[in-house]
Amino acid sequence: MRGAKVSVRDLRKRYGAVKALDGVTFDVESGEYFVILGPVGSGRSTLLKCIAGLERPDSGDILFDGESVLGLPPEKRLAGYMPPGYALFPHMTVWENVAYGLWIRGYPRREVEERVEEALKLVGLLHRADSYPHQLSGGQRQRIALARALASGARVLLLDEPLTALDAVLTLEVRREVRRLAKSLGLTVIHVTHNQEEAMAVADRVAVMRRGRVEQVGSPEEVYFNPLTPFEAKFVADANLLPGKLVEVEGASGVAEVEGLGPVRVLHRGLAAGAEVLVAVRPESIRVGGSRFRGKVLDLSHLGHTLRLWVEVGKLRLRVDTEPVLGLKPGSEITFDLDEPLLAFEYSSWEGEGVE
Amino acid sequence: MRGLSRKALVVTGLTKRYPGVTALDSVSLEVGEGEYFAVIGPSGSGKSTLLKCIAGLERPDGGSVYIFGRRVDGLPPEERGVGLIFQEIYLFPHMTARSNVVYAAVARGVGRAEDVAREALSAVGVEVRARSLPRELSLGEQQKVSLARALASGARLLLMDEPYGSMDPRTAAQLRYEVRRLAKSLGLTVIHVTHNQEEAMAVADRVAVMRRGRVEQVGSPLELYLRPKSLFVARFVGGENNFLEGEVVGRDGPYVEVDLGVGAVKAFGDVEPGRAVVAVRPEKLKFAESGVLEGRVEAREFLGKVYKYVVRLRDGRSVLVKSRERVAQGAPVKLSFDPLDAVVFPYPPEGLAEALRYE
Amino acid sequence: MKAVGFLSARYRGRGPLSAAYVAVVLAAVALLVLAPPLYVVVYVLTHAEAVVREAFQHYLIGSAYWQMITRALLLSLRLALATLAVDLALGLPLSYLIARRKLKASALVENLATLPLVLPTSAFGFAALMAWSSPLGISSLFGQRAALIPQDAVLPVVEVPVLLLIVHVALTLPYLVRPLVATLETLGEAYELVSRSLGAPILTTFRRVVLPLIAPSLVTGSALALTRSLGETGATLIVAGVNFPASVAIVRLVGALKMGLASLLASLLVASALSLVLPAELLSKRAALRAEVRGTRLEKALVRVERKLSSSALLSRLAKATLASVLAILLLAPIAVIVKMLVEYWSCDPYTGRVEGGVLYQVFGPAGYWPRIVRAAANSFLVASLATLTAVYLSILLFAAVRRTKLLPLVRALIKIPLIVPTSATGLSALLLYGESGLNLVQPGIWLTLLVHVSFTTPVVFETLISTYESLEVDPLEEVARTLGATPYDALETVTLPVLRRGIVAGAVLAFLGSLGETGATMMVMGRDEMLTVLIVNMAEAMAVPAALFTSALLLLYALAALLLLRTFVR
Repeated sequence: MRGAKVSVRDLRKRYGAVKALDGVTFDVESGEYFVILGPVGSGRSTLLKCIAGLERPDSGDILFDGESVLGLPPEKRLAGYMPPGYALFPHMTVWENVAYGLWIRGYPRREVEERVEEALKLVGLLHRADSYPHQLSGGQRQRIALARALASGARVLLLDEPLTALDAVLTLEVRREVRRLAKSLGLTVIHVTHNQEEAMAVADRVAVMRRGRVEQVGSPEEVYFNPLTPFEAKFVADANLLPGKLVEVEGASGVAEVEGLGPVRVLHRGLAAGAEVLVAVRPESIRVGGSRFRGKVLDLSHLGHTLRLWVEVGKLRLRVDTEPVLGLKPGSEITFDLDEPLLAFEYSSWEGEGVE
Repeated sequence: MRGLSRKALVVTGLTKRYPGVTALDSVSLEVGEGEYFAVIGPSGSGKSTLLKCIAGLERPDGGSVYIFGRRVDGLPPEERGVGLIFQEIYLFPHMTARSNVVYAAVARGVGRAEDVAREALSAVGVEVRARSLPRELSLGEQQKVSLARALASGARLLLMDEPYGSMDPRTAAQLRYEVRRLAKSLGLTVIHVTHNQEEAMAVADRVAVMRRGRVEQVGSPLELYLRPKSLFVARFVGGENNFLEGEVVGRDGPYVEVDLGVGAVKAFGDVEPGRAVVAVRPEKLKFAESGVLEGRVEAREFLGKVYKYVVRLRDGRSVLVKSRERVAQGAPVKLSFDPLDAVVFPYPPEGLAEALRYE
Repeated sequence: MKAVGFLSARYRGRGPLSAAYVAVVLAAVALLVLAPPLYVVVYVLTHAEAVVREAFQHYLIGSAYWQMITRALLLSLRLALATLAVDLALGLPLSYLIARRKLKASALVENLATLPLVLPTSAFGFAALMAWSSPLGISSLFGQRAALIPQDAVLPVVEVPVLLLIVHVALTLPYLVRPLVATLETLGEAYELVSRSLGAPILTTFRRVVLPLIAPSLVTGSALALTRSLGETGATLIVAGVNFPASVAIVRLVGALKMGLASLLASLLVASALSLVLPAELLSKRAALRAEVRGTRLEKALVRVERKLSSSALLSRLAKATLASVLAILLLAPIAVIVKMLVEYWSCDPYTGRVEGGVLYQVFGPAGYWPRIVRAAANSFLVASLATLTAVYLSILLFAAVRRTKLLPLVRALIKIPLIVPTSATGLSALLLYGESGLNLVQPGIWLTLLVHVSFTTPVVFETLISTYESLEVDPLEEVARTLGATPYDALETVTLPVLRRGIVAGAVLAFLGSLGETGATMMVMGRDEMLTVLIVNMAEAMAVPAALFTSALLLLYALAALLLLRTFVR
């Protein structure tokens, strides 16, 4: 089996006054694990339904392996769609669920049996073939939904928030499993999520979506370390956005004067000296224990392997992530350095909403 | 009883049995006034039953509950003076946010109900949305209004059962800090029940970890993270963990020496010689020039702040490593850790898998 | 692997449903479901001149017929409103107590309150008449020789016959209680617990929280109870004395072959029912009620009073006991009396001692009622089975045609009409539409009865199907089925309908029971093919008390079985 190459061309879709999709374009290579990362309401589910054929875009085109599928109804697209909650057929056993796609297309009985058995073995649930969905755990249901899509001969898997119905610990195991499975079968996967860590962990490439538009497509590292917009910096890496002014420019780097911190070295995209900027500081790029800056701990919170601090520096309030250390408490004075250079964005590119 | 009066909540020997299940097995807890206390555990561990017994929604089979020094056994929920906050927020859907809060004040029979309601709404910071109906509010706003409602009813002890369970993680992560700050500034005592250990660790002063109707450990988040008292706590709290089987061969001050089969390591703990398990967290394993644990990087995930690696050791075991360093897949690596960061447990008689099991 | 296959394999793999299919289904529904109850209005309009002449300018009695019509109609309205008032007073607290399991025997009380739903009304009417107005009824238990409530006793002020009121309350109560209990159960106890944890007493919680939240279903339930009372014919025929309401007047006018007058009255009854119910339906669909709370003196005083009342254990026990016993007397006393009288009348008439007046003689002896009972039962079951099958089939076709279209709300509203229109009016209407004076397609008899029953059973099945569809999230299942290779038709057949199976079965059971118990329309259209419920009316009119006793007892026994069926398959 070989996954299809999926191309989306300038896709647009309106619901009344709401632009769910506002000119979306990207390519997903055959066999690629592609994640669409965006907040609720950014148009990601609509996009997935358009690719599956369950929604009709107002304009634009969708191509599988270079051929437009817009004219094809969902049953002819061979795109396996998995909605949040999986939608297993409650009146059918696990076996019947997985067999459904083959049975409805009229495959001969022998072949149905072989392929269902193969799919169930692949997800390790052959022994639950006679169970009903309500008798399965969340993780098992998810694997059955996957087996059902695989057995039907899907060339593209469309996963809409496939992990939200699972508890946190299971999520970590399941997401690795799904990726491994897809890779071993050479399937193309388009996976939609709002969870930054999940996206980074499984994706070959990530597309960050917001308000019906794709803001950036790139490898997880690119998107995390080199966001194109301040929204992305905040949404993907939870960066502090600090207002300041670009005071020196030398090619793509320069120095920005950040209110309350003073001069810091920055990278920017073609801004001129004197430009109002937002400097993005990721919480983990603040190194507690350095010597350049001083601040006071307002509050702190244990997040397991990291310690989240809220630090007051003059009028600024910074979110800081550091290793768990004993002895810090609200009111403690700390010193810190910054990992420079930092990223500077044009101030006006911030639209100040839709992140939290 | 003397001494009880300074505690917001005391639970002694609370037991609740359902047919075939002991939901609470003699649970005892003390929570000080103004404390933010979290109860965590997997589903079915009895944490919700505990909350219901405190609130008066369930009748325990044995034990007692004291709220601000007053014994409340047998009292109906309306006479316990506690505020209940649920996952399904349960604002009265036919009343505006303000009316929801006024209702609480009127129901309690306080003097200036409208003023009390206004204060409560402004305390949680939703007074601008007071005229909206619940369905016009975001989930976060709704939960704040339900908080104001509990405040207006005069509750000083808040019982919260998965209060952020229905919200998307980003909203939840923001709201949890706001609620903590509010509780602290008003001097409220909070009992926060959740299955989400990260949420509890993030906001609680102290956390109780429950399993199978019993409290496994009570402590500050850092204590639970650094010094878990049982394998289950080591697994449930603080994210992923590595569990390495070995043999205790000697002692060295506060440490014991453990032979892992591939070599000996030191780890924190007081365990008699014999089979043992070393728990060491992925973020405490460091790529190093030398180390007992040698292997190859089998898989890498980029998580943003760190990379997560699956390292296959020479003897076939695999461990998780979290590091900011970027190491190529397939590269040979050596791992080391500080003995203070690893905890040793005696090998559990029921077997390791059983000791770590969630249900 | 099972498939439903309700159309045929030929449709496998076909594309979307065509517009022609939708049109054909809608036309069939209009003809089979909507035309029967509404044709009578058309008849009056097309025969206006003759009708007016007969009503207002009769050559012998002038406008006497018109006066009779208005008298009957006004009595119907007074009776319906009085019934509703009593229903609310009883039903509201009762529903709450049942839903929250606050009564010792909640399940029993709920069964009791549901019983009238499956009770063939004519049998119950006869039982009630015997219990309250026969010297051998309840009064005989106290050693009295006179009727406890004379048949023509009238309640002062509202001028409603007492016996009619009692019977109508008993028969309409479930239409109010069932939706209320269902809504309360769906709502759950959480809001009440929250309210109580805030310190509110139970009565305040009920007034401020529960009542507003169940208001929409209170309106719907009240509307249903009203229409039931307006249209109730079976029991009313037997119980009504000199004062008779519109439903009975229609039957009597048809009996006297005054079709024009009967249609006029039926049209007026239809108009009053629709004008009472449609606004209520619209009201309940509007945005949920808003109720603001202010910290006024009045509000605080109310809460104080409610706190006092709520904390009185005696008061609450008294209220529970009263409710339970009223319900028991309303429903169980007539049944007990029937059994008692059946024993007394078994071998001979207890007054005269003549064997000709005994059950044995009348039913199994030369009077020969037994074969009539058997034949009527066979007819009734045949009609009920066929009507249910047709209704299920029609509902599924309609469901497939309209569920995803903008037509759905309109179809849902229109299809309720047969349930709102009084059944005797529907019967008359169908008679005029299909019979000699209309299309001349079907003569009175079993087939016409079937057609009429299809009209009022289809809405029951369709409504149950649609509400099941809305309560389950079927659309994602269908979407997945589509991406797995199912055509729209395949997805409907292999996923949607099987998932909705419970709803379909529940609707079918309700329809079947409704068809079996119906009297008003049936007696208009059955011709010589006597049905079970009408047989009792005929026996009562022929003064064959022992035979009627026996048949009533049989039907009450059947009702218990039906109740079991209902409790197993519905909800």
